[in-house]
Amino acid sequence: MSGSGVPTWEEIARDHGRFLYTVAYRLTGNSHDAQDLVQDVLLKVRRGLETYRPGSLEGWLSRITTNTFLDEARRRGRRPVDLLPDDPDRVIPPSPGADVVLAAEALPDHVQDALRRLPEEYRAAVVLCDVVGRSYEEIGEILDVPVGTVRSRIHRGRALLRKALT
Amino acid sequence: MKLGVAGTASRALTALTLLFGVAASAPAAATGPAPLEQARHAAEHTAFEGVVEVRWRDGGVTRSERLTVEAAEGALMVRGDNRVMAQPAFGRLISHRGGGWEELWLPSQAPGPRPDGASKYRTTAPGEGPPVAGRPTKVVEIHRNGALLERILLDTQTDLLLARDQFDAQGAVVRSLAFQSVKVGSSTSPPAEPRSPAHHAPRTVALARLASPAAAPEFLADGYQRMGIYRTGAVQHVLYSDGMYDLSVFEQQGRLRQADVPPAGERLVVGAAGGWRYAWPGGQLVVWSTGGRVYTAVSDAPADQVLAAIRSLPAAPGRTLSLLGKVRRACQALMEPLS
Amino acid sequence: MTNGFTGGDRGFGAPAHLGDALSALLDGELPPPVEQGARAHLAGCPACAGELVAVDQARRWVRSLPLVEPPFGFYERMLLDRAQPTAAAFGARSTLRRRAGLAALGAAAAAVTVLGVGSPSQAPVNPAVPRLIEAHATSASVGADLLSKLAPAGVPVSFGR
Repeated sequence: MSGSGVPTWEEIARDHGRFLYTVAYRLTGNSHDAQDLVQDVLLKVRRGLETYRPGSLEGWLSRITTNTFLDEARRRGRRPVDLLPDDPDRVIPPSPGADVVLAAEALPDHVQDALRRLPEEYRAAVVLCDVVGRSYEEIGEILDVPVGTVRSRIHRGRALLRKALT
Repeated sequence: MKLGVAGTASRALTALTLLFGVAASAPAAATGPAPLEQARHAAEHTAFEGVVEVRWRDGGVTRSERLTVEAAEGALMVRGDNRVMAQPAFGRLISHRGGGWEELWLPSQAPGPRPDGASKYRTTAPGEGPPVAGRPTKVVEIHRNGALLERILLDTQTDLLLARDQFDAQGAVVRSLAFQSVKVGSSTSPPAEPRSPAHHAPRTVALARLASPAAAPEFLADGYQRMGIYRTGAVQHVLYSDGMYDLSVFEQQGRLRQADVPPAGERLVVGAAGGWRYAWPGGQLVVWSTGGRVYTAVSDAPADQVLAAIRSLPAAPGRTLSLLGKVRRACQALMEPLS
Repeated sequence: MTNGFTGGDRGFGAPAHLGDALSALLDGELPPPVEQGARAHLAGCPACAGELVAVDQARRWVRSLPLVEPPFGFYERMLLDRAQPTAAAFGARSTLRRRAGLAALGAAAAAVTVLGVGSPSQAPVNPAVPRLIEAHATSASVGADLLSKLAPAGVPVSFGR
């Protein structure tokens, strides 16, 4: 690490390049946009636009990546659509034989495809939880939303994924 | 795989026999790379830990990295910026910074027995070598067609491999690996099994059946023999060995563009196609594409052997181009962005 | 209701469904007393039990997604590109990649229209070189000297610095 404690972008590329690209790819859903997103993130790091918070470097990178992604998605005009009616009594009906262990596993490509079709806000929450591995509290901090919102976005995201993959 | 297990058992027996044989006699005999067999056996039956430096020539620069290694009871843990782990029980695992452990190999997928390298390589044991990490060594030299390929320093006491240099035709070091410090035979316990992988799945490696055997011949030039065929996703992996070195040929659909490969590659020709050669700490890497396929060759063999072997790969069946096909290819080449 | 569940109250003392508390349960985000209550509910509610299985499945699928390899040479080219920082470089995206990308797009489009080439075998592809090197090193290390064959994989793959 450089003297000031802020990692240089070369260090990030060398040590965390795969991680960074993975997060960008899971968020954007395609390699062209993932490359652009990674470039934007490293540009921000290089320009010192993001205040480095000592601690988890990956947490910090996930924050920049996710927020850059969401900013861009909003700029493109796609509004997160709530595809599930806001019905508190609604319970996702179990698919037939749900009590039986399902033999077929979803292929990574299908899962990525289904992820890409999630509204960005849900996708970001699911990626931060299940790809990056942050806690609800950390996700709330990253997305600047309350923990309850994090929880509901993750749950709905997963519900949509499950629906899309069966 | 029954064959694999039987092969391993017979090689272990051979290694044991040689151990006793070498202890008794002194003069150098052409025994093939048996010393590496001894080293392998030693590594599996001796506990050791230390710091290893790997150096390799990457274009005009020599690069080096240090790795911490620890081994006991047939398991090995390497810690660099990546961590790599070998366990007899569950194969091979790798972890990159920023990732959990990925399972790369399962023992049930072991390749077949290796050919004996004795006919191809000449091994000499000139005697004592310089100390490595403070320990006395004996030298083993591997020759091919009268040229010195490798100098290996084995621990006199335990036969552990302590240092190894590979030379090019001019006698310059292409690659090397050497202990900087080592503690042998200590009470090192086997490297701990990693906790279950965090977020990253095992890479699915499956034994593959080839649709057309001609696509992955059983023999390549210079004694490389096919050991196993695997498939990970859309990529086919064929492993070859000549008993001393190993060569992997990966094949997938598509084509390569110059803009998509790292800029520092050495341009070369493989058959009718252009390709690029790179160096990594463990050897050579060559990428090229032809006939709608992209090939990647990875090997610890010297560069000239790698090139000879891959140039002996046949064009895939049905790939002789029609006139229209040739026109297409010519036009594509013209339109390739020059960068 | 303040039982921590957002499934809603079905009224008159009937238990609320767990809703997104199910995800929180799977992620270990429920405080112990709430978690206990949730498990108690699950024991007697087949609807929620079924939803748990479904959501757990989606969670496992995403958690088992592998790391994605960046395109071969992606970071190396970025390093080369950024080696001469200019005001333009700070403000613009990688011109090298863009130019190559646009040119390739043009070439590919021309190829498709003029020559009808559109098969997958003509699609540009980036071999995931670091993964291939790792696959080689692990298979080559079986039945061979572990140190020589495997240790080099401890160094992350990068070319041409």
